Amino acid sequence: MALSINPAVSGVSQRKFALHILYFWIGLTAGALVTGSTAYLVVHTAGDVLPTTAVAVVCFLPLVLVVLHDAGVPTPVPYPDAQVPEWLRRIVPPGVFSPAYGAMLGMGFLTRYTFSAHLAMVFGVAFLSGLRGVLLVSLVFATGKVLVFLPAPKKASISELGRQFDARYYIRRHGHFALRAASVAVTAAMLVSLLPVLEGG
Amino acid sequence: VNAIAAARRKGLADFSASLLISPYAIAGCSFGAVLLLAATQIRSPIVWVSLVAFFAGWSAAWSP
Repeated sequence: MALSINPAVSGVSQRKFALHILYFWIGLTAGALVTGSTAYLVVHTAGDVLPTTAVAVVCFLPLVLVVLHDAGVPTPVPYPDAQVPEWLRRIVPPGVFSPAYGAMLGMGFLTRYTFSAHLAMVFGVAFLSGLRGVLLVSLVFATGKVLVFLPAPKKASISELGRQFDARYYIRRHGHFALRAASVAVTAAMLVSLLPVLEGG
Repeated sequence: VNAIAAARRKGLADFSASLLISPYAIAGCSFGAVLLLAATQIRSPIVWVSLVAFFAGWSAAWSP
């Protein structure tokens, strides 16, 4: 993700890079807002005709599936194979690609490497009491995702960037496992937080 | 034999470095553990979901 909007890939200046990060952040927020609002409306509409417990159980089951996926159990989670939409990069300029890619990532489950915490966030948002909360959570989500650009290499060539990222990934093999474990922990915590909803029925 | 021993030492050093240096391992595990503990303490849903959202964004952004 950090490579896809880097100046070494897009060829833009550092000033435009900062602008693209802003566009990316706006796209992320918009994408998360779309998914969060949809989940919110679906859950609240369903809550009008079904008991809250039934709605929470329906949300509970997919969370279990994605937690198992994060834990390394082969479960049917519909993640696409592609991470960066290269076709989009070829047909639009970098200034358009940044918000579009951000929106795709913000919506979630349109790219690879989605952690279970993302679905936990979507279901958590769905059970909030107002749409203002959905907006706030979307902003926080986008901000967390944009942090990856802070230590991003600057003024590097594509080959140099590749080497730096290869080195990071190599060191990160165990870190990646830790992230998955942490994602499982976060989602499990989300499930715990849903328990009062189930009890309150 | 020396080459094998050197490769083992390098592998062990890399593994140690990944555990000691990697901010992902330290921050990811710490944050997950804190959130798990906080699940029973945080009563404000908006704060709670925001924490999960931050982690969801941050963790996925670091994935290769």
